[in-house]
Amino acid sequence: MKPIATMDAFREATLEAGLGKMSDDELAFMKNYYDGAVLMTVRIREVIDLADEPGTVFDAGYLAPVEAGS
Amino acid sequence: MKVALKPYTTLAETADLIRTREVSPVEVVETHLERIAEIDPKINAFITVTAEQAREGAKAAEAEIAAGKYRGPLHGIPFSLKDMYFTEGVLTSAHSFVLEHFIPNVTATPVTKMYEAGAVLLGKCATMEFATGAVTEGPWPPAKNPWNTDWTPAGSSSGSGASLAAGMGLASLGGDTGGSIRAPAAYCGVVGIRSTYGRVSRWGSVALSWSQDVCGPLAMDVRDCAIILNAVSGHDPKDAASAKVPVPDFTSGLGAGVAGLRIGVDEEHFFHDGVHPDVKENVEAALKVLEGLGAILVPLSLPMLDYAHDAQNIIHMSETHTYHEQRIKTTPQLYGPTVRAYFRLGSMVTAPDYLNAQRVRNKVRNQMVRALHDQVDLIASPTMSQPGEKFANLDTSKRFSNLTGRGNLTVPFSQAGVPAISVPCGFSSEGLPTALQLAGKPFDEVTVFRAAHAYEQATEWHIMHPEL
Repeated sequence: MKPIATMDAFREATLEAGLGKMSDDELAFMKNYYDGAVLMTVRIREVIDLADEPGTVFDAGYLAPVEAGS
Repeated sequence: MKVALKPYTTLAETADLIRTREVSPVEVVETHLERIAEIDPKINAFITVTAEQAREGAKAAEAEIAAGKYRGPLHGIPFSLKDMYFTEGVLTSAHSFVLEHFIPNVTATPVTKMYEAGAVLLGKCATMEFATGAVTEGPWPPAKNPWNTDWTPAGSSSGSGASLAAGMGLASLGGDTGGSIRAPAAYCGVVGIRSTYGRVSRWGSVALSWSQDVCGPLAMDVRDCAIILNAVSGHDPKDAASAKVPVPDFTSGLGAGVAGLRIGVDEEHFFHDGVHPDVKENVEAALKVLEGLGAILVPLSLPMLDYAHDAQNIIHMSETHTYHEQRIKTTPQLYGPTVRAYFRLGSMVTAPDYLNAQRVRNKVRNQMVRALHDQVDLIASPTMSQPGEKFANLDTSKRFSNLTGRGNLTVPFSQAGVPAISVPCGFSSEGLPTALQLAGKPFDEVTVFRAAHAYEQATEWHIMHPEL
């Protein structure tokens, strides 16, 4: 996810995502969520470190969430 | 000799009375139906009351017990369900206009297990729309907190927590993705456990975020919770995440105390400045009680937990969007504004964002589980950072700004997939319950129950009830 500066650009992005037309109020409400989500993805990337994850043990996390650390 | 059933008689106490035939399941169910009729108009805990089904179930239980076929401590016990569980022939709404008239033709595995144990369904409880949205945007009014109806019972198993706090039913099954069993348990002053991911089948429950969803019990006290978890646990081939592991008797550690148990406390993450002073004071007092009982408090540092909520939200919105994709595109008007925005947002999360969130989740899990193996037996924290929230102050547009980083104390344990229980530990200055959270090693719910029970029995918070 990338930061989107303007409402017009955000409207375009939602249309590209196949979400259909939305009212201005609805778009503004959703953009607030979008901006929060972008910050989360930025924080997540900050702590990704390949050194912690040799390819042989990469685990997407959803297959057996309790076993890797046990 | 027959005895009258007092309000707030626990599940275990009621089970003893049923087993010894001092009360019949019919009397128990009628008592709770009367209570619902009297109290629920003030609380709105129930969307559907299955009175006739409950009466028939109670009569059948009474006849079986009279014939010497006692099934165990849930036989004849009235219970409720968060309205996310499929129940054959009974409305399953997810508190949404989308499923306002949906009658399933199958029953969810945990509900079937409750029926097999002899429990009797009282009704289906209020939640937030699809366990995610605003409490005020569904076809039914939101459940209220029995301790003060101006305050929310938290969510998303809101009706489950509220019903038990109001003495309506003896058990309830909720669902916990980021904290939805523990949060209402905390705000309502009851007990709720998120068991290890995979311990309880989710088959037949409306999915929210399948790599995080857990089904499980809320009850009036720790023993009751353990009894319910005994009934609903076990491998189910119909749930791909269901674990093939032995199911112990979760009551087996009750009474063993906490002497020698090492309880980890991460002050920086769980007792930060954003935690309400009343919550902090009560949980610190609870830790002193545990220490007085012989537990050893161990300082911990788990810095990855600061990223748990970021990962949780990205995973949640992606998986939830996928589940709702067809409906949200074809009938968006049936969704409330909050879930509509949130569920739509999932389509804008990229695949790398989602996978990176799962990688961070691994880091959270690995750090926590490693600490639980190498340093401590349990981790303690407040369940909720605040002692409650007024309906008047709810603002769903602030969802992320309120909850990111360290604000949410239940999510790290959800991300780690470990068992975590919420147990009452006092009251705020405004008279709202506060709660202690105790988490343990994967599949070691026995130790979690053991410690929670030791604390509970050393205090009296669990026997305090709201005036209604």
